Amino acid sequence: MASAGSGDEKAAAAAMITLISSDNEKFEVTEATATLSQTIRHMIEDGCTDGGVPLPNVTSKILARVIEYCKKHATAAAGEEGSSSSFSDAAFLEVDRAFLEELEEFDDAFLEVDRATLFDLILAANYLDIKGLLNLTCQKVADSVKGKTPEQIREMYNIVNDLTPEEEAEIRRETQWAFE
Amino acid sequence: MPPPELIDDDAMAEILLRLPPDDPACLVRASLVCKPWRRIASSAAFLRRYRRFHRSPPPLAFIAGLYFLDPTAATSRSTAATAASSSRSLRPTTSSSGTPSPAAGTWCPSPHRVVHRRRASYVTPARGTLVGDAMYFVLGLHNKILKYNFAEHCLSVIHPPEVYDKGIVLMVTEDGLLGLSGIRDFNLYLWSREADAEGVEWWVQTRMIDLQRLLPVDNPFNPVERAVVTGFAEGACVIFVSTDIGGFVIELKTGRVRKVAEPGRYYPVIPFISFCTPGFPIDIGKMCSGSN
Repeated sequence: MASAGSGDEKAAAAAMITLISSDNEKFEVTEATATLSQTIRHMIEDGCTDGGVPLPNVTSKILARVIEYCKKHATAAAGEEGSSSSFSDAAFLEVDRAFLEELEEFDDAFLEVDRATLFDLILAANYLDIKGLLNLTCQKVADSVKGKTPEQIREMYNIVNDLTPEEEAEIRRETQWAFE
Repeated sequence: MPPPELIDDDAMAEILLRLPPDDPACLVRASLVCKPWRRIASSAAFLRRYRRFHRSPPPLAFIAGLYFLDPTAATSRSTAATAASSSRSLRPTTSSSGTPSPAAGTWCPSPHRVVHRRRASYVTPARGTLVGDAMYFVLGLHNKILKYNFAEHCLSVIHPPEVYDKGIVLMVTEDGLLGLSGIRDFNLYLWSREADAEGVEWWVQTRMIDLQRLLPVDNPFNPVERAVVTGFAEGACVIFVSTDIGGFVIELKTGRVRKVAEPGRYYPVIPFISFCTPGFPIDIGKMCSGSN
């Protein structure tokens, strides 16, 4: 996996980055895994990852999940580069498809978390700027909200309605079409 | 339990961004959940982000039969439609007979009614299609295409690639070329007007969509008899098809189909394309009641 797609010998397998969670736990990951995060990518580019990357906004529990996601998707990205460069025959397409299906299954299983964890993952994905993870987790919440009334959404996410009855009535009157 | 108060505005906006722009009610309902959600969703910054995220705006409403005038009289459309369809067989000397009395709702004898007769070729009252230096219109009688090149200031006629009895709709393809769609035997055909380096042009069929499979036809032994392509939403890559089981919108990119109107004659269909967020609402209710 490590050498796939990269012609630069220096950027080979051994490049490891240490990530440090808010509760001071250290995680060693490959550069390919870490750079799925644009935030970390920029830190690497700026050469400020010696001695580890402190992530004060992310707990070890969440960071472990984030790394699990990045590992899987970094492998996928490397696999894609490798296969598309020289082959495009049916066998490879078949492999690609199987891999994509596997990735989808992984994503589905990954989202099987309680709501608090899901929100923590969103915050981490946003902070670390991991596009795929942000999209996956936010879409999950957006989908859960889609067909619901404001009351149902409040109940589902334990949200206190701080709009005054007058405000709410006025908004409803203005946008009646959205409640029909 | 999830702590929404722990979600910062930026992350919350990321969630709201992913509510579908073609169903703006979702965003409106979400914005009524609590003050923070409302504040985020109704900000100008969110609208900008929403636009950037979804890129091409969706068709939110459809305006049908525009050439029957008088937007103020709600009942005038059906009257006008009936009058206009009978006016096809009228001779020019009786052209005023299609005009209802002012009391029934005023609509002027529009120039369209003149070109609406079957006497000669006419330009169908649909929106022209702008591609490059030229504007294209459909000539109604044989579905030929009138090209007006405004750079060279000249008119020419292009023949469609095949005969589509029930009419054609012009469009801009994703590659920025002139596109054409027509329905035959319940298949929707999409064409693109390609050109070589010397400027020689020809039609290339880019897609064929089996509407029988795509549309929610309940009884396969009683197929939909009438299906006409009546509009195209540029940018959104959406086609409007009018059938005897209703008006449908087909998203060409995803193949998604939505029923948007009851059975009826909708022509021409002009889509209203926009993003709609709670801070910058568009009165869809008014739009829809105006187009029905």
